[in-house]
Amino acid sequence: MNERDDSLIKDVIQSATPDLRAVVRERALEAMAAPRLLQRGLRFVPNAVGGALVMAALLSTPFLPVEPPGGPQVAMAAEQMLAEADRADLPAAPQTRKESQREELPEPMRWYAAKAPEFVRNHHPNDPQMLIAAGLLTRDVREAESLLKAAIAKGGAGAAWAAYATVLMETGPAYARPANWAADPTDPKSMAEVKEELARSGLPDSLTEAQGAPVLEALKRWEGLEPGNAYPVAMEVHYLYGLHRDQEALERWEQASRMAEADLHAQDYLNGATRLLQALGASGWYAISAAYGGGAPYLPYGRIRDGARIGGYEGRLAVAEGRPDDAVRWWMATIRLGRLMQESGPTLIECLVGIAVEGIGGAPAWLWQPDRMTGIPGGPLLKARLYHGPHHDLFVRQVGPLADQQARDSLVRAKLRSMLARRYAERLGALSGPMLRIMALRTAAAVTGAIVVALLVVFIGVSAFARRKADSATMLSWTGRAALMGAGLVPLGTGLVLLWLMMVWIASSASRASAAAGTATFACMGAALLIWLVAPLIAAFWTRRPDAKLITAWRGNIRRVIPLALVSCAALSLALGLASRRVENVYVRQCLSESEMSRVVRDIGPEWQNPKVPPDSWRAEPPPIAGNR
Amino acid sequence: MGEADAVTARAGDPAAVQVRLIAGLRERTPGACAELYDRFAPGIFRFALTRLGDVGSAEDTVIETMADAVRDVRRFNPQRSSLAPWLFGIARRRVHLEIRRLRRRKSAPESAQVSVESVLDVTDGRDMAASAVDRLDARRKVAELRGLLSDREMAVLVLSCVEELSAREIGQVIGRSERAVHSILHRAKTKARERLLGHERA
Repeated sequence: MNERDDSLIKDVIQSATPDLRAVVRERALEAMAAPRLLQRGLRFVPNAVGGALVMAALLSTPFLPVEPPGGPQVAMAAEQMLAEADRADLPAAPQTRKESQREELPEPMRWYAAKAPEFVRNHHPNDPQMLIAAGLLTRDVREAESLLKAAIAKGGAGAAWAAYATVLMETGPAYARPANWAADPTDPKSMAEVKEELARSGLPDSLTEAQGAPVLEALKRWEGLEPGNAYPVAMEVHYLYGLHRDQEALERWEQASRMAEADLHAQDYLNGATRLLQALGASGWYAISAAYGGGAPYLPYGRIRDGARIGGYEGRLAVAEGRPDDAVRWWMATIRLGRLMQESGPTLIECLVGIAVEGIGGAPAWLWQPDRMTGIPGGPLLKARLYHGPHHDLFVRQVGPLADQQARDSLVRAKLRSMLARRYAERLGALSGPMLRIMALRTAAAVTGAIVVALLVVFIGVSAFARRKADSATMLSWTGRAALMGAGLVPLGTGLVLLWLMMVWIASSASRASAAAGTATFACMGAALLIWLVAPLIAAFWTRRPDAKLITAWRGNIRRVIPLALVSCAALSLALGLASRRVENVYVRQCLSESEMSRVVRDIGPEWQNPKVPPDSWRAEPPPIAGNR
Repeated sequence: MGEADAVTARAGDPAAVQVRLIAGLRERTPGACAELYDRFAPGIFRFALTRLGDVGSAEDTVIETMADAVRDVRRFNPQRSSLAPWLFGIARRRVHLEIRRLRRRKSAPESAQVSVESVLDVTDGRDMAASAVDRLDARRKVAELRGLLSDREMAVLVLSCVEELSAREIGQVIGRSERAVHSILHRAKTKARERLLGHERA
């Protein structure tokens, strides 16, 4: 090996090479003189757009919660909580806090509750719904009082007094008598157990006049403004009973049951809270969920249930003591009030509590028939008093077996409605219409967002070292890139379609569809990721440069395919997120324009109005009244 | 500018000239593109032609390399390499793309692809009898070398023997260490010498 060899090689190569033609020089100079900015821009713009899409998808995905919101589920949970409170073995009632402090809200709501008063005063000082919502959200009683006073001045008097009474109830003193804890006065064992529990709880068995006065005053003021509203009168019963003014309580309970309407102004609060939370920056999805859930005032319903328990207890006691007239008055009033709540309430929780109240009064009324009352003073006359007495208007005007049957039918229907509502709330189909679509779209957006993150990790991983070497190791064309990217999009698209089908179609009749949808979606997502990793390896066998290693060409192919996949998934995620926002806005408008109960009744369909009473079962058995003693 | 001038210019490629040329390209100074072309196009053309064996493709490679270089001149880092390895690196990537394109397009073996036009190419329209024989003979030898050597060996051989790049500069072009370049070059020269000397003996 010497210089002669070098010279020989050089001569051969130079001899084989002609001079460059002049035309080549002209073409080259022309190409070199092309506008650089345009060239750079053409290269920069796709990168910038792609990067912006990926960033937007990454930033927006965490703000798209996919969990189901409140509404029917929350109402069912609240009703369950209220029903459980009927049981005697529960710990003491929650009114054990300082008078100036209300019960804490769950964490995400605390921030909104803290901001709400000042925000409403500054931005919506003339909006009674907003003022009431802020008053019910804030945990400071003085603040709530101030906001609700402002709401009264701005024209929301009835709703504001209802809210103020709620706040006072929350912070007011508690008491417990055996009737409040659903004891059975005819069962010595039950009475002994409840009395023992009461002694352990440390709650007093009565209220003082001073303790009961503020709430009773607020309820009176509310009643003065709305003389036809059953709620303020019915809620007085709890406090009158605590003051041991039992006869007065019975009269008020009866009076409430004869009112024309029962309006707790729940829809005013729900609309106000939804708008307030949205104005504070919450998404429509969260605003609806939180308005129906986190800060919703459920205590008034508890007070009505408490009245029903008192009615059931006092009725049994009256029968045992030979005062059937009093028993009939308690029970009839309870049944009537329950039905009134079912018919008047704008929310599902009111309807459910109405069903429970009817059951609490109706069960003893039906069970204590004359033929079961042998040995009880006045017993033989009870049925006659039920159907022929001054309260016969409750049932149909006929008496005898037909009236008996209709009384049972009414209770069965109420129970069936309760079961329909429960089934409706438990299945995903309860989120029918926009809500179900929102959930599907958000889940899809979150899934594609997760893929974006995974792809980004892979891309950073393969680019961590010697990326230029990887880039130059492969000759994958644009067609090849598009083909590999499309190969991964196929399972991803299939997964999203499956997700939609399962969550929107199948879920309307099943409660376990979410698990199947999740499995299918994650399987498809995994398949897409696998394709985007494995296909570049297979392609590397053909596209790698002769002098490059397969693994390096694989990395190069991944670096060329994944950016396309990233941008596609990011665009898809953003589009799905935006679509869910659009559907969400429609849903919020719908929620603000109609009551929850009308939506529930519409979704359940005609079966709600005429639930199918089982032809035989109810005839042989007593009405199914679980949970009510 | 002829080949000899170009080699002389490249051989005496002082840092100051390089700095001025790069600055001129970045500032779009009139004449900078022409200077870049005149200095480096012949070498790149030789490099491309020995790898591709097709004059038209080699010319296209020269044009694309020059355009890429001017477009990406801001990415050029004088601390990492001098201008020549950087340009040959671009040319090498372009050659790879061209090889791939030609492979897809080709239907006949390379040895059967010497057309009348290619004869005109090698003769430059002058002295048909003498030039054509010499050029065709040289091209045949180069084609044989291309068949004998691997792509990397061929590239290293041309860059070293014809373009006179140092082992370090060649390493920068092909992405290998200096030691590896020496090794590849040794193998390439051995194979080339045996083949070319064999021709001389024959």
